[in-house]
Amino acid sequence: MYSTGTASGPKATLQALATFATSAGFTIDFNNTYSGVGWWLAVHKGSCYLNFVADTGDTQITLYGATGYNSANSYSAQPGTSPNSYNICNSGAGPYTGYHFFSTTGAAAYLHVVIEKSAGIFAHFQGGALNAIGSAAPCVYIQATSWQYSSGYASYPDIGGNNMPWSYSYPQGWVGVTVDSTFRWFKPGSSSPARAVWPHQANGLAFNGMQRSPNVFNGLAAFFPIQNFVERAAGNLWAYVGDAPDIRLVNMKNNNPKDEITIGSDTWKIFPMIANNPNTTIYGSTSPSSGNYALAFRKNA
Amino acid sequence: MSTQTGTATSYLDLLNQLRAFLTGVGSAGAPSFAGTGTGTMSGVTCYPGTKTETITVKCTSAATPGAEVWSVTGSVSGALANATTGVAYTSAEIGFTINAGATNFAVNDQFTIATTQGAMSAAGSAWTELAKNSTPYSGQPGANDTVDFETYLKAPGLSGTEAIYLNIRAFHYTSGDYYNFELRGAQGYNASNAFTAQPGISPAAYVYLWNQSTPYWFIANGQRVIVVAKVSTVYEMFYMGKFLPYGTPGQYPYPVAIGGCGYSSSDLRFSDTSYSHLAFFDPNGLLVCDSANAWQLFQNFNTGGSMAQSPYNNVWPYCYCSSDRPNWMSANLDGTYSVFPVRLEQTSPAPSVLGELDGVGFVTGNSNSSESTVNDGTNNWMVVQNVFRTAADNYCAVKMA
Repeated sequence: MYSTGTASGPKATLQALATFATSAGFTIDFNNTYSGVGWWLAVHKGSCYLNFVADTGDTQITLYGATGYNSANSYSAQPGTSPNSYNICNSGAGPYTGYHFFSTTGAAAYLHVVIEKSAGIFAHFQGGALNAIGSAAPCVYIQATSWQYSSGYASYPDIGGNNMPWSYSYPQGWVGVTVDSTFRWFKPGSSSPARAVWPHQANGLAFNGMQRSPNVFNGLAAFFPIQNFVERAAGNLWAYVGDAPDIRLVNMKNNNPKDEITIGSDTWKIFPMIANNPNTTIYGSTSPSSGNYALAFRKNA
Repeated sequence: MSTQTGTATSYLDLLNQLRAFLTGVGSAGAPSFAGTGTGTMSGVTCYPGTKTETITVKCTSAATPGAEVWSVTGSVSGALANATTGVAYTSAEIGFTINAGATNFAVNDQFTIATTQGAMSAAGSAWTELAKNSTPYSGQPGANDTVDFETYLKAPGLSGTEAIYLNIRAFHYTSGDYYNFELRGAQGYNASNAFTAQPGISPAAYVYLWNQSTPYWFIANGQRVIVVAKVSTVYEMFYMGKFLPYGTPGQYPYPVAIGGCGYSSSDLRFSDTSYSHLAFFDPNGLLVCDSANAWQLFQNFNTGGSMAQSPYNNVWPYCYCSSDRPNWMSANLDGTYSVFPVRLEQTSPAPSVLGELDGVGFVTGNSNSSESTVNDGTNNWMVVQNVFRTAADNYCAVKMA
């Protein structure tokens, strides 16, 4: 399912998201102002618990995954909560040109959000549970963009400080899985044994494929599944635990933001990670560019 | 998809059994006899037209001893042409010869033969052997080599109406103690042309076998064949035929891949442990026909053992990024295994992600071993190592059912 609209900023976006989440089968655990922050939205569907927090200045959204909800606790102290780092979507103050919400009324639990900060400039935040493999659980994830929108590095797609969802090199998010009897939050670059392998941005399983896409023979870009591997307790090994539902990595060289692609009976909507600006890696430029990095979201899930 | 497992007595027997399998040749049990004559039935032969049925061969006239007339009836095929003692009999369904004995056959004497349709014929995906050549010749592919047999095969594709040209020749060099196959893709067949001069022919890929007993696995459909041959303790493999392209037939008309366990060296022995001896799924040389009908080389390693990265064309995920390989992957958390597609990622002559091999996947070798079976929830896959290699990133999975 898909919804779009406009919002005055992070708080209004979360308020709209609460309505959308309800229609996607989420239960609202909390949806109000809260001490020290501007707005706190707590939702769950099955064992996927997500907390979205707008700051008092209404300039960013902070994400926490969790394994439960306790009304006595704050947004950052929920059962099994994810770390309070690498969890901010610096969407900036509104008003936003628009938001785009993606989810499903099916069994999968996820809320994927794209904010169009201003024309052609985007931010992302996501929460959900992976399509789990091999009895992995609960596989709750949070993901976001965190970008140097106005610094001299705004046009650098592959540099620290410009973080993307599902990035191997510059991650901005976590996935929570019970591995070898211990529940942990994983991401690339964490200390062992809490490391993850994610698919792209300067490295990762899909990086070369992304660079070799789109195809010259038909102009089409492959859709790469977002595969998650998490570290085992010992042995310097990683297990596949599943892919993110209804979202794919795409090289959007031949696409424009918000293009829709039909594959069979499915419609996918493409958004750049930040901006599809061809003028990349220009020091001093304050025109953001995330190169051809993009995500496709299934619109009809 | 059809499969056949068995043991070949030699590299040539392996090729003969493969030809029979691909062309859908059936099989027959030993004939049984009831009656008074003491003659025999010999030379029972099956064909692509062989059905799963009982063939009854019944004497209808014994007027001329030694030239009795026999009716031939299939329980499914119905009445076939009559046979005569002493004359080789051939129909689309079966062939045999009835031999006279000391005691003449009598009317109502009867042979029965149980026949089984070939798997590829039963699946409606049998290939055609356009030509074969069993006349040996020397000096190819290497100066010391003798070619023993050539076969020119045409696969019908999954549609049944395609023409996929795939050629194999068996050769050997006794002093070098190697008995190998050369694999070639082509884009047509010309009976006037030599093996190496067929229309649109690919460069050669090689499989390194021996002249001894060889357990094998054949897995095929209308568009490709995968062969696994266990030679001593190493696993030789090859893939010939179409893969699954990321494009329509109009965009990518002939997505064919030809891969063995070697590319540039015809004269290797199966026991070779160099980087010239690599399976097609993590290759030194996999030949892929691109969208412009030109053959491109895909390689994850050069012959020196260095990982081949851009501008090379790679096979994912074995060679997925910079210097990284998936040697870190364990089994799933519950001990099951996931199978990942094997993707053809092209850098040169132009970047493209061409598609996936059909029926071959990546599986981690961690706590895994060749010939084990993994199930991905839908299909059974057989695990096979890369020739002699047994590190975690040296395995593939072949879809068996």
